[in-house]
Formats: sequence, C-alpha cells, structure tokens
Amino acid sequence: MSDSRMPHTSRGPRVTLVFDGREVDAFEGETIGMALWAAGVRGIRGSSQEGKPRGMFCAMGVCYECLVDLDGRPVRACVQLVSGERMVVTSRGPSRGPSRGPNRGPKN
Amino acid sequence: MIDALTLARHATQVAIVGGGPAGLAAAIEAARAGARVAIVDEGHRAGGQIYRQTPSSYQEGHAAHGRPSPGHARGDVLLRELAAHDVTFFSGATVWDASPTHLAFEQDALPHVLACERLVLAPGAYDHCIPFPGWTLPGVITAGAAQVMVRGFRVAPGKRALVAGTGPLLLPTVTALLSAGVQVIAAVEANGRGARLRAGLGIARSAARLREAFYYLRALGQHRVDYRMGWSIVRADGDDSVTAATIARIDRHGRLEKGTEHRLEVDVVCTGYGLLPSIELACLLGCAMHHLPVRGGYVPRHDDDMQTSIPHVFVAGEIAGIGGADVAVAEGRLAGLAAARSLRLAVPDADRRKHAARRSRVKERRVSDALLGAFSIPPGLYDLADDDTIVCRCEDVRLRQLRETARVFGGDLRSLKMGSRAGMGPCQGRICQPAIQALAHRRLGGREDRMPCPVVQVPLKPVSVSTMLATGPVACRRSADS
Repeated sequence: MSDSRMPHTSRGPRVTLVFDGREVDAFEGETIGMALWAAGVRGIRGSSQEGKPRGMFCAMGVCYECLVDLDGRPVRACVQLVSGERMVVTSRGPSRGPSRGPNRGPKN
Repeated sequence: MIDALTLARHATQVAIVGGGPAGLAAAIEAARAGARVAIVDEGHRAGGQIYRQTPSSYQEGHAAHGRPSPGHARGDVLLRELAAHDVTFFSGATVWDASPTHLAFEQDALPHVLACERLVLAPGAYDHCIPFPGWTLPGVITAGAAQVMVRGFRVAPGKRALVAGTGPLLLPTVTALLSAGVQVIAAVEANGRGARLRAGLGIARSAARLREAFYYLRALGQHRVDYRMGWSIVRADGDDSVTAATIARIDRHGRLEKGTEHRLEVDVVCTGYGLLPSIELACLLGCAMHHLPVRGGYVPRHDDDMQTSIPHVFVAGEIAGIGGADVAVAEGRLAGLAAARSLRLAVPDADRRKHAARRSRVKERRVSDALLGAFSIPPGLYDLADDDTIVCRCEDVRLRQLRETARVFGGDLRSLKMGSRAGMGPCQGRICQPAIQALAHRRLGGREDRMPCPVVQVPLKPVSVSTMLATGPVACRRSADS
C-alpha cells in the first residue's frame, strides 16, 4: 500500500486534495492534515522567520504549526476537513526573511 | 479586504464548551432534566480526545484493530447515552470570546454567537511540551497527535517510532502505535522505576485502572517493546523530516549520563510530558483560580457542584485539574445536574445521581492524583535545549535570543515575551510558555518558580477580523439581545 492509512477500514467518498500542485488522495471526513500525512507529506509549511520545514505537531488545533492557505485564508490543516471533489491548498512561507524551506516564500 | 459577514445567532439554556467525557456527561444530565443543551466543540464528532471517534463515513469492525481498551469501552457507553438525548452539537467550532451568558465562535470561517443561561466549561487539555534539539522537525509530534492519527483517522503515524517523555499517557500512546502496525523501536520514560511502583500503589484500589494498566503492559510485552525507565530523548535529527533520534540514560534529576547515548533510526517521534489544562476561557471570564501542581498548575476554583466563583458558570474535567476521563465524567454529571437544578428543572432521581457522582469524583480524583503524583518532570530535561534550539515554534525564537533578552530585560516570562516575541504567535504561548518559564528559572535567572496564571486576551484563538467585527463585544451583550 502506498499510503499509511490502516487497512480494514472502509472510508467515505474520495476527495482529491491538491497541495502546492501535488495531488493526493483524501476521503470525506479526513482533515487536510491527515490526508497529507497519510500520503507521506511531513513538512507542510515554512517556519515564520526562517522558512524551515514544519509539519503537524499537536494534530488537535492547539499549536498552529500546520497552517495552510485555503481560498486565501490560513486554516489549521489538522482540524479543517477536506471537502468537495477537489480541494486546493497551498503552503505558507515565512512572514519575512529568506525562504530556505520547501516553500516559495511569502505570497503576494 | 475585510468581508462583511452576517452573525448567526443561537440560543440555548445550557451551553457546554467541549464534547469530551466531561462535556458529554454534563449534556446528558442537563438534557435528561429537560434542559435545552448545546455543545460547542472544535472537533468534528463527539468524544473529545480520549473518546475520539472516527469520521461518521468510516466503517470498521473493532476486531480489525484489536480489542478496544477498557477505558474506550466506557466511552462507547457514554456516547450511546448521549445519543438518547436531543442535544445540539456545533462541531468544528472555535470559541474565541465569552461572557457568562454568551459564547462567540467561528465555524467554517463564519461568526456565531450562542446565548445561554448556564455555561459549562469542559474544554479539556493539551500536551505539555519540552523543547530539545530537533523538536521542530516534521515527524516529531505530541503523544496526543499520535492518538488522533490512529484512533481518530486510522492513519499510521510512521513505520518506526520512538515514544519519549513521562507520565501515564505514554503507555496508551505505545499501544495505539502498535495497533496501527507501527514498530515501536523504544519507549523511554524519564522517571525511574520508583515512579512505576508509586503509580502502581496509586491505582491499586481502582480495579478499572489496574485493568487498563495491565492491558497496556501486556501489549508492550507481546510486542517486546524496548521500554526504558530513567531514559530520555536527547535530540532528533533529519533534514526535511525526522530520520533519527538519540536517547540516553538520565539520573533522577534528569541530568544526562554521558556515554549512554543511543542513536535510533526512526521516522516518527512521539513526545508527551503530561497534560496542561485548557484554562483560557476560565481566565477570560475572571473565574477565581488556585494552583494545584499535581493537576497541571492554575485551575479555576469550584464548589461541590462544580460551580466556579462566577454564578452559573461551571467547570468539569481537565479544566478543573488533570484527572482523566473517569474524573471528567463524574464532574460533568455534577455540573449538568447543578445547571439543571439552578434552572428549576425537576431532575429525576437528582439526589441519588448527585451523590453517586460525588462519590465517584472523590474516588477517581484520589486515584488520579496518586497516579499523576508518581511522575514529575525531572528538571534536568530543561537542559536538553541548546542555544540553537527553537523554543517558541511560532515565532522561531531560539534559546540564544531568550538568553540575550534575559540579559537586557530580566528573566521573567513577561519580559522574555515582550523582548523576544516568544509566545506571541498564533498558538498564543500554549506550547512554549510553560517550558520557557521553566527554562528561564533554571538557566536564565528567572525568579518565577512556577508558571504564573496567564493573562488572556480576546480572541482566545486566532479568528478573522471579519468574524470579530460581525460579532462585536461579547462581554457587553445582555441575555435579552438574542
């Protein structure tokens, strides 16, 4: 199996999640963060000052490490459910300073 | 551009923040008495963290993932009990402002206000974190996160895991990982064997907790997990995500024993150092607080009915001090019963239920205090962070910057925050402030020997300006206005 979803569980309808142009499989009921994690995506954001890779940490909406952009607003990937047939999110880069992480720096 | 949003208004008799065991028990008791009840929860299904359910679209047999632990079987009973009552559930809702008669929350980026006559705060807890080199690498997660992935979404956190930290929650974290087919390379508990003995004595009189402990220990044995007491994680390494972690033996003060380091190849590290009660709402409302170190620090005072210093505002579960699900259920029932009674609703069988819940609360608090008291954070763990270690994850503040700030402004938490921005990011210091206080006290000349009661401000969690504008000042709202 190519992803880290546990077997023996039947999941809801499929959603295609597009993260920075990369398509990953998701299922209704999953959060953005969980779908990315299941697809092996660990770093999903550049840290605020240095742009170093950060990913899901608390997975329950407390730490705000997993912020992604959805329709131009920041959402916590760990609590935001995937929805629709196709959902597009993008990573967030540092608020200032050079990006050295997996991101393309601040958005204009 | 700021969008003009329309505020959705709702009203209920009993509003409950949090849909974990405490909130559910409160909802069940209040609804049973005939009260209109609404739960506001940040999660998407009832159960909270401990009784977390998979999404409703998922189908599975428990057989596929082994028997549920005895504790989770009790959660199923509670969820069935809730289903028998008509309770409104606002899911995916982030509460950001409150008064004793109103809750403001954001749901799907839209603003809502819930007017209420009685308020029960049962927001739960979150993991206590200690910084160490590499803890910001993707793949290093909290123990709670591992539970969310496995039990909430049936996703394996990794292939090879290290579990590290201290406290009774490490064991269920290990069993959750094992149930997901994760190879647990090692599990390291910072406290030594004396803690296990004290913990065992602490739960000796609780058959349910003993059963649970044996359940966890049996799973560790069956999978031959390398379980070490008196050991700690030292660092995590990797480029874009964690690929290795180093553990070492520590003495009882938490100081590293040189030469005992082991490097382990792992792709996920789960750390847990106990839980911290989520007290922000109680602080915002101005509830009188007191300091209970074993239960996680400052918590709101309450009477035998779980009512705080503010009339008609109740607390239940972890917010009243860390104690686990059985404490939470007892306190939730007490809060729900008291809220209903204060609304002059005839509660069937009220006295018997109240006394049963009180007895259960006293007993379970005694057991959980003894269990939690067996584990403390060895202070040497705060020496793991080096000057290059990021301590405030949100603002990328390294220990070196805190040291420089302390030199100029002093080592108290407030000065460190103002001088370095540590704790001013979107998590609002929930993750870093307790660790920074301890680091400051031990290493930066800070005089505060314990985490001060936080001064909280609106919004309690980041919400959009549009939401705030549409909602207006909640504290000024009168019950009549909706």
